[in-house]
Parts: sequence; structure tokens; C-alpha cells
Amino acid sequence: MLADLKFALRQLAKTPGFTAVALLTLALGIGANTAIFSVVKSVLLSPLPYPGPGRLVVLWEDETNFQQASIAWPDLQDWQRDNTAFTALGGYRRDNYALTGRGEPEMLRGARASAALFDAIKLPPQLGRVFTAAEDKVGAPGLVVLSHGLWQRQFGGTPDALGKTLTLNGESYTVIGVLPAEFGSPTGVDFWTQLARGSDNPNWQNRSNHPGIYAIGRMKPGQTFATALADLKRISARIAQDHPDDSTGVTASGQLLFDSTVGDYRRGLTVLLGAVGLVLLIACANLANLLLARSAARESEFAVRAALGASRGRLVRQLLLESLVLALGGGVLGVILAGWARSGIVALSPAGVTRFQQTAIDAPVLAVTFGLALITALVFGLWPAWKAAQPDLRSSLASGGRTGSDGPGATRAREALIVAEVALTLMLLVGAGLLLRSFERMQTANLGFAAHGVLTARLSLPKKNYGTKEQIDTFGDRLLERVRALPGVKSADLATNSPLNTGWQTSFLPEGHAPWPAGQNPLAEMNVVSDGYFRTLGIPLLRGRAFGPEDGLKSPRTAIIDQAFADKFWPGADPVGQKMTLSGDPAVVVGVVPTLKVYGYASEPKLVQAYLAARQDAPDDFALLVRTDGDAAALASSVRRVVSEIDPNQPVWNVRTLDDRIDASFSTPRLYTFLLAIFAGLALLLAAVGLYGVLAYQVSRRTREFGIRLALGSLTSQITTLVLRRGLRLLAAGLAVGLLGALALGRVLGTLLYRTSSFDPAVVGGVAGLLGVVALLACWLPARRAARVNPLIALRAD
Amino acid sequence: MISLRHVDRVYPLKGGPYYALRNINLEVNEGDFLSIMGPSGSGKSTLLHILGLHDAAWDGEFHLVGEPVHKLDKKKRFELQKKHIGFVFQSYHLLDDLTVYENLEIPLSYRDVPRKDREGIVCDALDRFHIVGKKDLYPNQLSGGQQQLVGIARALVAKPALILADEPTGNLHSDQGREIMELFKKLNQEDGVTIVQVTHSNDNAGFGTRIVRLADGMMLK
Ligand SMILES: Nc1ncnc2c1ncn2[C@@H]1O[C@H](COP(=O)(O)OP(=O)(O)OP(=O)(O)O)[C@@H](O)[C@H]1O
Ligand SMILES: [Mg+2]
Repeated sequence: MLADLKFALRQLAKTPGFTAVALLTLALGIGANTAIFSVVKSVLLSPLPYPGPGRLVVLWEDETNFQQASIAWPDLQDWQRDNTAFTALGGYRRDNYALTGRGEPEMLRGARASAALFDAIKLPPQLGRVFTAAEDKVGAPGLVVLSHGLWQRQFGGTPDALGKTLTLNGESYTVIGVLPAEFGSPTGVDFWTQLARGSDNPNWQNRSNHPGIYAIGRMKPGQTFATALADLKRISARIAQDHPDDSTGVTASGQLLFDSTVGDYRRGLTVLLGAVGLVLLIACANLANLLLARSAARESEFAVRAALGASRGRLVRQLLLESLVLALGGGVLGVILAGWARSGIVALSPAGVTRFQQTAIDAPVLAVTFGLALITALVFGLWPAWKAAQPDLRSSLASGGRTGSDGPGATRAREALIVAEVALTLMLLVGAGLLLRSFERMQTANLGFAAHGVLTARLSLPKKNYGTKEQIDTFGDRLLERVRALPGVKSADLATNSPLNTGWQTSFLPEGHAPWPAGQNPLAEMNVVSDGYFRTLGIPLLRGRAFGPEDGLKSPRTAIIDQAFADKFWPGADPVGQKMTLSGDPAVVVGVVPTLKVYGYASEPKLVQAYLAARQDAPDDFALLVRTDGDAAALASSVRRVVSEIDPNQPVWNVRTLDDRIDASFSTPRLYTFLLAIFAGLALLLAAVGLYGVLAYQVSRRTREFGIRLALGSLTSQITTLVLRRGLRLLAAGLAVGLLGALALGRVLGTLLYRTSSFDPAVVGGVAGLLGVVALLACWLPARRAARVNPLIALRAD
Repeated sequence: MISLRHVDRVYPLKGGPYYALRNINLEVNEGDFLSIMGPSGSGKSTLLHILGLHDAAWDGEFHLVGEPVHKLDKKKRFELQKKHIGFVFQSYHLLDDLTVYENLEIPLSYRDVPRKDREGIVCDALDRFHIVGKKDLYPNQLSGGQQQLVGIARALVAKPALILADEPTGNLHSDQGREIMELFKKLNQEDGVTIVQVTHSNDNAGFGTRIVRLADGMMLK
């Protein structure tokens, strides 16, 4: 065995060119697989870091016209009281809090949670305790449980944090515990505080109001997701019966917490895993080809060994050992490549998704890598070894091993491998081409507003200091006045929601329209904006006017609607001047604007859109939008300074350009597109090398034949054609098979594509052309060499 | 040891079947030292490859050490070959990528001789053929004659009962050739090894105990 190993190493060292190509091919194939698998493992395969993670579900309410709405507070209480399927079920609501009194004011992301949320997740605090159900009620003192991150950031990770007080939105809270870093549901939260403590909010008592509360529950043993959900739906049905006005059509719904955490990434990552699998297959095909050629050249060696008593198993073992050495070497190089690729992928991955950031090349990943290397060695090594190990003794010994020619079987096998490679490559190229086309369409999609040059920032005025409309308006007016005075600023405005940040949906009824049947009322996507909002965002007014000073508190309530709203309810009529009930109060339409893609490029707006005037409302939680004629990002520090000059305790956060935020919404498709493009490029390279290799090998085997042909008067161009024709036949067959594969692949890509047909003729034609050109080059090089055979030398060699 | 009855070897060529061997009847007893002679193309190598079990596409009956080869399957033939035969090739067929030492070791490793025993056996063989000094060289660093010596040593190293040699001295200096023949003779007489050699030289044939002549694939009486 050791001698065989030594011999294998010596054989590989003797042909450094072959060994280098083989190692590189394997390293690329195995490296790509290792990198993607490490991501898949971290994002899709690692269980949630909680005890019994499979029993956790996240819950919400579906309404007839609005899926995944939040849960009405009384509904949540009924679920908690009446369910029989959950050991614990707790609600949570995300809220932002201004932290003051500890240096710079900071905006923190909080979650108000039921005590039962901690019982459901079952991950004990790493320090101190969490609050109890008894402490979670109206009138109880404010308590906070810190996230690991906030604890590190604000208290340097010391136990002294316990018992300290934090001033949040001007109110004081006592720190009672710290949760471990793994505690990540809901995601991206700095601290947890009591949910029910604030439940005296009158809006919350209304069952038709869905105030941003979601829930996490732990199913009892023996329950499945279906039975647990059925249990809640039973409660929903009863609620709808008891409160038909508020709850008709409202029903419990949810998802396994794991699915909701990874759901978005499953398809994309699976496609990538498939893609790298194909790359590895192509790499294997290339290696099998190289080895077939190599073993043909070593035919006489095997014949002599067999004549000296080597059994077939023995010869196969010898050859497999060489493959294994190659595969393991490729595996080691592949892991190094994967390490680099991992950092690249993590850098490109969507920000704040810890499961991406936790990607690591760890022991299980390494195990898979080397398992893969072993399998690879078998896949590419076994067949050539098996073929080589049954030499025809008589003829290879008689011929002295100098000229042996391949049987038609071996040639066919090599050519079949090439056809497969070309086909797989075309599939990958089509996939990458479709994603690129779709990505390009995303980036140039018309969202309905002019994002370039706009800086956005978010502010939330604490009720304690800004309880009245007057206080809020004073702050807002001073803010806008000062920001507008900054150099480079063209305009500045406020809105409760900036684009890509929706939040408030409400019901409406146009005047003269029959009342909606219970549970059937449509919703409008709402925004409360200051006068110049549309100008600042470059949104044209299609009809009527923008908001202005005439929309005062004393004047009638006015609304601006989008084109879809107008088309739907006042088709053919002038919507300006029409009246309706909007969010419970009368309003008159004064203007019409185009429909905005408020959810970003990816989804069409489903709801009609309506705007109210900030002058007639008092939004205390809003976005500041600043249009500049220069570099919007450069304005960030000035905006921060202006805010702190007006109120040093007022935090401002999420100061980003609109471009930047739109860009962030591309991060996942960008990652997929980028990676698939790289893999397709790899496949193209490998296929070209494979095609070149096979033709070059055939040419070298036929040197004598070409020499004779030339000596007999053949034109060199005829020789070139001879070789080219062979290559083109393989190419054509590969393209035909690949087109069929590409059809299937398009279906798999399906929802990853944006406004791109899964069989876009331009894309398919383009990449087929690209593949054709590269392949032609790969054929032409050996063909040219064939034509340059010197007949004298070729014949003397015999 | 060897018994051939009505053995034919036919190559089906385009112009019709070509008889490389026709109706060969041959008895070789244990302890024989047989020389096969005949003009070029008469079928000597063909016959030797049949005896060496490299070729299976012949007709007739062939008994080797009492076993009916014509009835044996591939695996059994292989076992038989491994157990009894050492073959010296007309064109050496040394393994280019192995040193002299390793070339000699190969048949032993294929016969599962324990590693510790191999060294002694290989060194004996190196000694016997006076090539100890060459043991770490590769075949392309040897002269043709030296290569043939290694080829012969390799055929002998596993101590076969039957040696088949296709023109073993064809590339050797006549002194060296004589030495090989002396060695064959010694093996034949002292160790009882049966030897079948192909040769063009009457001198060499003289070392043997019997001569058969081939012409156009037929045995001359
Ligand atoms: N594969 C083959 N197909 C057709 N004919 C063959 C084949 N191999 C050998 N022959 C023919 O069989 C005949 C005997 O060949 P063989 O190699 O046995 O000759 P030989 O007696 O060993 O000659 P030499 O002394 O030159 O080595 C020759 O005429 C040869 O052409
Ligand atoms: Mg011969």
C-alpha cells in the first residue's frame, strides 16, 4: 500500500502539467461547494439555538384583504387564555426608544414582550432574570432585559448592569437581566420590556385594530403545526362569531419559527447549491477525461503489470489511489479557496442576518468537503481505472506500448462526457444570464419616485416632551427650517413613512359607496406628509394640488390619493373634490399622484395609496427627507447636528441616503446573481478546458495519420476542418441537450426572477452564443496544431 | 507440464481467416529446456503468448500442469499464470517509472510476499545478475542488454516452475548471452525449472534439451 502510494505520488510529480490542471479543477469545484455548503449549513440547516426549536411557531392574523396582519390585543389575550395546544404563547411588539442620559442620545430597538415569550423560547438569561407575568401589567414599574449586544455596548459586559436604570423615551426602566447572544427572536432587538404594561392604550382595546403585535408560541409535545394552528383558528372562529363587526374574516395564522427565519433564503441558496453541484460534476467530467487519456497512454504499463501477476483489483486500486491523492490535494486547496470565498460571501450577504454572518468552515463542513472529495475521486477515477485495468495483453504487449490506439468505445465515452459538460455549462450560463437580466431590471425599475440625491433620517419624539400637536409642530417647523438652510439642500420634508418603509394601513369608504360587508373592507396604504413631500421625492401631481397652508386644522380634512385609488373608485370621473370616510373621519380628495412601489422593486403595490396632510395630523414618529443637489451622504452629520441643536436629548437614526436603502433591498438578489455568475464563469472555463483537452488529445493521437495525410497531399485547411468538425458536432449536441436542461432550470429559478421570463430568448441566445465562441476557440487551437504537423517528424516517430 | 492438442490461432482478417498457428501438437515435460525456432513471422511469439496465458483466443486443447486451460475461466487462468509462469519479453517491457529494484519487487508484491522477505529475495536476484550497482536507476538509464537482464531477473524472482522467454538474448552481447544461457541451464538442471525459449540462434538452442521448429504457423516434424 505504501509502495503504491509512493508510486502514485511519483506518477503525479512526473506529469506536473496534468497534476496542476487536475488539482486546480478539483480545488475550484470542491472549494465552491465547500463555500456554498458552509453558508447553507449556517443559514438553512443549523437549528435555532433554543431548546426544542422545532416546536416554536411565530403567529399573526390573516384578514380577508390583508395577509400577515398583526394580532389584535384582545385576540392575543383570548389565544393565551383559551388555547390547548401551546405550553407558552407570548406576544411582542417592536418599538423604538430614545435612550438618553448616557452620553449621546441613541435610538434603541426595543421589543415589548409578554413574559410568556421567554417561557416559549426557553433560553434562560445569562445574567439576572426575565420579568414575570405578575410584573407585566398596567401600573407595574418599567423593567428591561438587555440583549447581549446592548449589555456589551452600554455596560461593557459587567454584572454591575443589574439594577441600573435606563432612561427610555424619558421614562426610567430598571435593568433586571441580560439575555445570551443567541437569543434572536424577534431579530435585531436591543432590549425587551413588558408588553401588557402599556395595554391601557385605548386603541388596543379595539378588536379591529391590529397594533403591530405578533406572537411566538411553543407547541405542546404531540402537537403538530397543523393541529396547533387549528386550535387557534377554533378560537378565531369563536371571536368572529362574538364580534362580527370587528373580527369577521380575521383568523389565526403562522409559520414555524425556523421557516420564518430562513424561508426567504431557502430557494436562492438551494439554487446556488445545485449550481455548485453542477460545477463539480463538470470538474469531475474533465478529470475523468484527463484520466482516460492518461491511462490510454499508460496502457502498456498496465499490460506488463497484469502479465507479471497484478490482479484487476490491484490495478484499479493503484489508479484509484492516484485519484484519491488528487482529490485530497484538491480538497485541501479547495478549503483554502472556500475560506476566501466565505469572507466574500459574508461581506455581500444581507446585513443583519446573523445566520449568514455566522457562516464558518467548521468541522462538519470539513467533513462534508472531504467526504465530497472522496466521492469525487470515485466519480472521476473509478471508470477510467476500471477501463485501464483490463488491458488487452496480447495486443498491447505486442505493440510495445508505443502506438496503441483507442477503441471507438473510449472515444465515444470521452465525447459523451464533453457533451454533458457543454450541456451543464449552458444550463448554468442560462441561469446566470436570467438572474443578471432580472437584476438589471430590478435596478432600473421605476419605483415612482426620484431616489437619487435624497437623504433620509428617522426621528421619534417621546410623548413625555412632545405630548401636544403644538409641541410637535414647533419641533417639525424648526427642524425643516434649519435643514433647508443647510448649504446644498434644495428641499426638506417630513412623512410618517418614507418609501420602502410602509407601516400604516387603514380602512376607507368613498361617499355614496355601499358599506363593505363585514370583514371585506379594503385597506389603503397611508402616509402623513408635509407640504413639499411630493416635490422633494420628485413625484409629479397628476391632478389637483399638493397640500398647503390652506389645509389648516380649521379647514376640512383633505387627502391626496394615488392613480390606482382614483381608477378603482371614480373611474372616468374627476376624483378631485370627491369625498370619503378615511380612517374613521371624513376627507375630501384634493389631488392625485402616481402609484408608488412602496415595497420596493420586488412586489407590486397591492393596496391603494392615500396621503393626509401633516398640518392636519400630528405625527410624532416620522422620517425626514432631504433633497440635495450634491452628495446626499455628506449631509448626514449636518442633519444630526441640527437635531441636537434643537433638542440635545433627541436621537436621530437610520441616517441613510435613499439610494443606499434601495441598494440594500438588492443585497440578496445581488448575492445570488453575483455567485451564480461566478459559478457559470467557472463552468465555462472548465468546459472550454475539457473540450480543448479532448480535441488536443485526439490530435496528438492522430499525429501520424495527419502526417500521412499531409504527405499524401492533403491541404492543411482540410486537416483543420477535420478537427473542427468533430468539435462542432460535440458542441452542437451539448447545446441541444443543454437547452432542454435550461428549460427545466428556468422553472426552478421561478420566483427568484423579477419581470424576466424563465426562457428569455435574448438571454438564452446570448449565452449560447458566448458558449459557442469560447468553445470554437477551444476547438480551433488543437485544429491549428493538427494542421502544423510536420509529416517527416510525425512519420519518423513510428 | 505443457500439452497442446490441435491448437489453432486464427486472425480473422479482411481477406479471410489468417492462421498464425495451425494444428499445433506439443508436449513439454517437467524439466525440459525447449527452444522454439523458425523464421520471422512464423508464429513463435504467438505460441509463447498462448503458453503464457496472455492470449485466450485460440482453439484446441491446452493442459498446463495438469489443468485443462481450455476449460478454465479468466480468473482461474490468471491464478495459474501467477502461480507457475515467469515471462521474459522480447522487448523487455520494464516499467519505466519504477527503479530496477522496484521492477524486481513488483511480482513479489503481486504475490503477497511479506515485505520483510521481499528485500532478501530482490537482493539475491540483483546479486545473481551483477546489477546491484544499478538498483536505484530507472530503465531508461540502462543499456538494452542491462534492461534485458533486469527483465530476466524479474521473470525469475518469484521462482516460477516454468519460464517462457521470447528471444531473451536478442539484444545482448554474445558473452552476456552465453551467461544467460548458462544461468537458464543451471536453473533447469539444478532447480528443475522448465524453460521454453524462442531463439534465432543455434548456439542458444544448443543449451536446451529439445528444439521445435515453426514455419508458417505449423510445426515441422
Ligand atoms: N493482431 C494480429 N492480427 C493479424 N495478424 C497477426 C497479428 N499478430 C500477429 N499476426 C501475424 O501472425 C504471424 C506470426 O507472428 P509472430 O509475432 O508470432 O511472429 P514471430 O514468429 O514471433 O516473428 P519474429 O521472429 O519476427 O518475432 C505474423 O505473420 C503476423 O503478421
Ligand atoms: Mg516474435
